[in-house]
Amino acid sequence: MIEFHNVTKSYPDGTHALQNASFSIEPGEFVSIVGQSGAGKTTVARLIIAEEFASKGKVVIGGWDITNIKHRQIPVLRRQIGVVFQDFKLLQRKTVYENVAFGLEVCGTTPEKIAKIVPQVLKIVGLQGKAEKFPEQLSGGEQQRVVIARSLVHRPKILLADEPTGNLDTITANEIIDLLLKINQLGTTVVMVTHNPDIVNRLQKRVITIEKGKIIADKQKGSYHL
Amino acid sequence: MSSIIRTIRFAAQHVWRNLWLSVVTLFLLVLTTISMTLVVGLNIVGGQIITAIEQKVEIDLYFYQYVPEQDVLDAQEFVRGLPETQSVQYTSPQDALKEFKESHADDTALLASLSELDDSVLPASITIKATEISSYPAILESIKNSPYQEFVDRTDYSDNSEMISRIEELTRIANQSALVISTIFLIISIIVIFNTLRITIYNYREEIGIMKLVGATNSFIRLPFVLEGALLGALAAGITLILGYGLLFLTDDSVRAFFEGYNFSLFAYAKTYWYYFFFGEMIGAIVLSVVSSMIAITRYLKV
Repeated sequence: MIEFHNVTKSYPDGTHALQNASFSIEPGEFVSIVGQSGAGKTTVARLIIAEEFASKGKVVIGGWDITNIKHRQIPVLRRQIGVVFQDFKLLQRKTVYENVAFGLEVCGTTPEKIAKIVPQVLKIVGLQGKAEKFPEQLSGGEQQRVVIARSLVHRPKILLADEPTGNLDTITANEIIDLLLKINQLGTTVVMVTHNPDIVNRLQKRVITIEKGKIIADKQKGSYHL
Repeated sequence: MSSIIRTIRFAAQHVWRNLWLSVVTLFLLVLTTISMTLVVGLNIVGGQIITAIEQKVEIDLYFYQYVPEQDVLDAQEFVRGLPETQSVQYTSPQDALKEFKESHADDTALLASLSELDDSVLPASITIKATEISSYPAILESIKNSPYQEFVDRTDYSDNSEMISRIEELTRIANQSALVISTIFLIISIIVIFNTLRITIYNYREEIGIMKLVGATNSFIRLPFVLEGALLGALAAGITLILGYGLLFLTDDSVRAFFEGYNFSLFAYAKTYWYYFFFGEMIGAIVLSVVSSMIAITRYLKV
């Protein structure tokens, strides 16, 4: 589903965010990518959604080599990947309903279908009564649920979560992780970038550990060791 | 169809949820269109004044009284044949006397003394109008070099020649000034509107980035902004038209009084050609706001 072949990401000042990284993630897996701040884990996430491009190596998503993806093809790629951000990245001038609907609107879904799907997804994430609220009227946990709803609404095969619990308290963070697990159980491949040891240890799922841009460990039932 | 409705909905949401910024943008667009209309209006008024004065400029050739009517008519035909001539009107001594009497109908003493004389007391004349104001000297030169020159007693043009050259000079200066003023206004307007829209879009920069990350195409993001620009442009043109009409209606009597004798009303002019003004203002405002939006948004689409 996701393949990194000897991927290096360098910047003009000579720093390497990622060096010779190779791994492969199979469909239906739940993988945590861990590492300290600046280790290069967010770079992995950015390479997956073509927010950045590899300096060397090859990135393949769902059989599609996106290493040299054309600019106009990027929206097509991003519509196939659900993304959950640490800072939520919600459209502040849109309501909860409109934020979730936006994920479908960019795909060209008809208003009739949107009106049918959005309430269902809001129900799954437990926000059925908050459809007309604006993001600023919600708690951090609720905002993250809106983001998850938006990322799921077009039924992506991959869900990429970059520090999804970074801005949340422990209880809320656990609720979000439970939600991600539920999504994974329904067949979606989940890639979670995190530096939260408690969550990684609790999951008992595959862990890829990155340090100074290099993959130093890749364990099937791993835990957070740094 | 659903994408058109969606674009309109997003544009309407932009306007409504950023009401104050939209009002400020609209206000600036209205000011811009008013400025542009003012420049165009001044050009029209100036043009009308010059045309009116130009229409009053003519050459009168008065012939000796001994010249037979046929020779005067031949001279008229000669002048009519000149390429610079727009029209030539012959006034016989009888017609000249009739006009003179009509214009002095109240002066009974003068009319009584005239009745003592025969009806060819006044000379025959021809009145010449040229196609262009600059053509009068050429017409005079042609007459001077023609065999009809010897029949001409008096030419009533020398008094106007200085005025004509001054009008020509004024026309040239007015046109050049209008062009310079229009260009300055246009540049200022573009800078002001461009920066206002840039602030509006800057306000949306994060959201534009998020939209891109969620998979929106550039055109999907850009269209509502472009439509919003077009909407505000059309609205500004409408407001300017209403304000302009109101202003012209209220000042019409004063303007008419100022141009007394020239039969010119700016309100009547605007009423006749309102669609030129409206569509001109609308196209100008829409092009200005849409182009500014397109340029301003482009830098935030590189996510």
